[in-house]
Amino acid sequence: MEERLSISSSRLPIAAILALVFVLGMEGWILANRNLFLDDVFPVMVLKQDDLKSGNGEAEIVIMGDSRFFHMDPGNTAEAFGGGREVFNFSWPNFGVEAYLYALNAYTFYNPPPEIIIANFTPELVATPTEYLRINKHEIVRSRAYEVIPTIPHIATILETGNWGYLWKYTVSVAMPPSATYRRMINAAIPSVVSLRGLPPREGLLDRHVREYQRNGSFVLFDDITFDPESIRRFNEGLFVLDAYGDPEVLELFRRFLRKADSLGIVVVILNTPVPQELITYYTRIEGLPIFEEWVEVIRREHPNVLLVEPVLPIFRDDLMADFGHVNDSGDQAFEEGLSERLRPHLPEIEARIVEMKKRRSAP
Amino acid sequence: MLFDSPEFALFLALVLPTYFLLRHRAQNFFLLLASYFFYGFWDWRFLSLLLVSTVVDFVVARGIAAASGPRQRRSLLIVSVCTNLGILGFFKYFNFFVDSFREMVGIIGFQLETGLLEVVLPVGISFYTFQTMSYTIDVYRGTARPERSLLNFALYVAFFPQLVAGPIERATHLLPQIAAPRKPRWEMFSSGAWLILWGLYKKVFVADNLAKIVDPVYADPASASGFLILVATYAFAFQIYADFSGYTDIARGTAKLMGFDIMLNFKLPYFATDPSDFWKRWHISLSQWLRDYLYIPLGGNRLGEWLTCRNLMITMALGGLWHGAAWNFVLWGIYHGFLLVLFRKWGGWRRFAGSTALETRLLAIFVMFHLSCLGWVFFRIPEINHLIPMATAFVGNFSASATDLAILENALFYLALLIPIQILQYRRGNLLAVLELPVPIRALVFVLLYFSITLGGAFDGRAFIYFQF
Repeated sequence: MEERLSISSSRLPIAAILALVFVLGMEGWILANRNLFLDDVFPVMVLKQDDLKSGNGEAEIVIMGDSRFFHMDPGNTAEAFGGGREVFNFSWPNFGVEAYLYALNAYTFYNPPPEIIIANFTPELVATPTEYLRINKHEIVRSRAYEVIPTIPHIATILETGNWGYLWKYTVSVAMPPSATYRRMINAAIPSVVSLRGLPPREGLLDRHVREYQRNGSFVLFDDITFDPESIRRFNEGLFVLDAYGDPEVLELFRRFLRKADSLGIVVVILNTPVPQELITYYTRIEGLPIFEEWVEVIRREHPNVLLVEPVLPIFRDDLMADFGHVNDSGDQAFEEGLSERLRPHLPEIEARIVEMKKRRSAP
Repeated sequence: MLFDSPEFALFLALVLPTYFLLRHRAQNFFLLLASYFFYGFWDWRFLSLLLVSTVVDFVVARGIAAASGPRQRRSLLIVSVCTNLGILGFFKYFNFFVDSFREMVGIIGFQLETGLLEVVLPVGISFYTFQTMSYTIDVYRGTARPERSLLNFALYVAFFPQLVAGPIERATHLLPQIAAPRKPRWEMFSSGAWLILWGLYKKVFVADNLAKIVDPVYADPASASGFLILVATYAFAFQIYADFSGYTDIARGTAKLMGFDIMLNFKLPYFATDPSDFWKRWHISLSQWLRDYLYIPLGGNRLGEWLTCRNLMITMALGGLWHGAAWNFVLWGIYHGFLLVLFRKWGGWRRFAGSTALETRLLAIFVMFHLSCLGWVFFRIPEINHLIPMATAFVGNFSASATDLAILENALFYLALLIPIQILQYRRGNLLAVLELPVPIRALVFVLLYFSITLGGAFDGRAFIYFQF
């Protein structure tokens, strides 16, 4: 047994070249057609990035946050704020908290700073382990952010925050071939292709989400599902346990975003999406609410560019919720119908702050 | 910095172009710095051990060459051996021996309150201490000349492709390559690139995926069926092979890209037809080291049959202990020693296995593969007392459930490309047989390996098994 190679140095490595051409072709095809493999939310995120970069997302009001904001209709939101302003829904799933600064920087890289950013600041920031809230620390959070935040503002934010560990992770992710990046979805599609059934049919949900987003700029994630109180228990047996972690690092990450928004003359309106009573009971039991209320006070006291819309934690009946964070179709309707009423008492103050911010921005 | 990590890819992407821009002496200096960086990336504190080993053996070898008499030469050799074995013994075996001693005296009723030390095992220590020791011994024996350049010698000890998991190189093989300018040759480059691709495939696709089958079964054998234990044992045989030989392939491929030829460490070990053949194919650099520096000095086969058997058992038991400070490794070594003795006594087997008839050969391969699998059970079990539930499951609960069959199917999937390629290599007697295939088939193999890695590779930062030895 030995190593023998009878290759002449003058011969072209044709097999290697052929393989390379094929591999590059396949990688290019996967990248161009990644929507075929993605889940029912990814393609919308790709569309949001396109809107961001093309200027379609240029607006006076920008919604930033996680999947609980997907349903927020830009048209209705504009009206609730008194009309006359464009609204862009720039939310994505598994947003966490660190992503606020990235989203803000990405938005302002391609567009002028908005007057208002709508954000959510809910007790789950207290009740979720920090790693699930940070792009740097968790793969799901990171992979979502990769799809939405374009490279240049992404790197600029990393440099701004001095997050060197993340710079390396980001570089590695960008350098990964598409077949590795999207392999989970590709592998799920392989059995269908191998059995000559072609690529798996795009789920109805995916088409509906894309259609709804293209029409309204928003979509309801779980339209016809009704909240099951048992879902909290099931959740706790799955991804992680909801507990009163209350990591000060999380609060600081959110405040870093608020300070940046302040420096850009942006008013941040914290407009939390509804939760079921069951979740409030749960947070009370784990003693997470006092920490959350303390955090709310810090934000109210120390960030003059922030306005919290009451009720800070709106409670919806179970039949209006799909799970303990997302509304269903009926919940969406109830939310949209009640939005104007909820915002009305705050509008004068919001307008006053916008004027104040504008003055500050125009001051030498 | 694992070979299958992005950090190593970046490291190599920076090292290779810089290396080719430099002249020979500067190349060596640069490679030494790169190697120290590579090693220090794990834990920079352990660089001091590498430096001690390097300086002591360099000075001792020069001293041996300049010594006036045999006593002085011998004393210097003892200094080298004691330094290297001292480092190895302290960092790798101190707790093992203290713990074993405590347990032993505990059996006869004494309770010792000796505390164990919080000693971290420096990566690759077993490999580089053996490598430097072999150099001093070779100089002492007169089979190698003492190296004049400390730079060259330091690079011989620390050369990053083979620093942390071998192959355990010999001074007579590697030092001349360091001393002479390397000329880049296309054959070296193409075989190097192939070895890296093949090694990566073996590590991230085969070994790391099989580990997911093996680990849960061996962690809790009591809850597995005998059938599943059998599947997990077969899977481990291929996991450890793919892991270690994959590492070696990447190491050799990387070295080849820079014009170095590192020794072969594996020659299709599961095609061995008897234990002696197995050790000529498995971890060749270690088995040759043990042969040259332990077995032969003990007397080898020159002192009669019984002493030969004794020497084989001692060599293999110590070889087992080299793999780890635990009794299961010793047991594994003794088992292989026993097999070597048994097959040595049973001369008829060699005649049978050496037959040209294909069926006979296949039968011999089948038998030897299963004997090595039995050995892997000793090697893999976390504790010796796990053997009891495994044996019980084998005897009392062998039936395969649907899940067990699905796991077997899964394991076969990960071997679907490895085994045909190995058969091809075996039949052609050429480890680079794939590079001699017709162009379209060769291109297809490259593409399959690439997509197996990107689509199916387990990128979970699982360290190479042999790093811990």
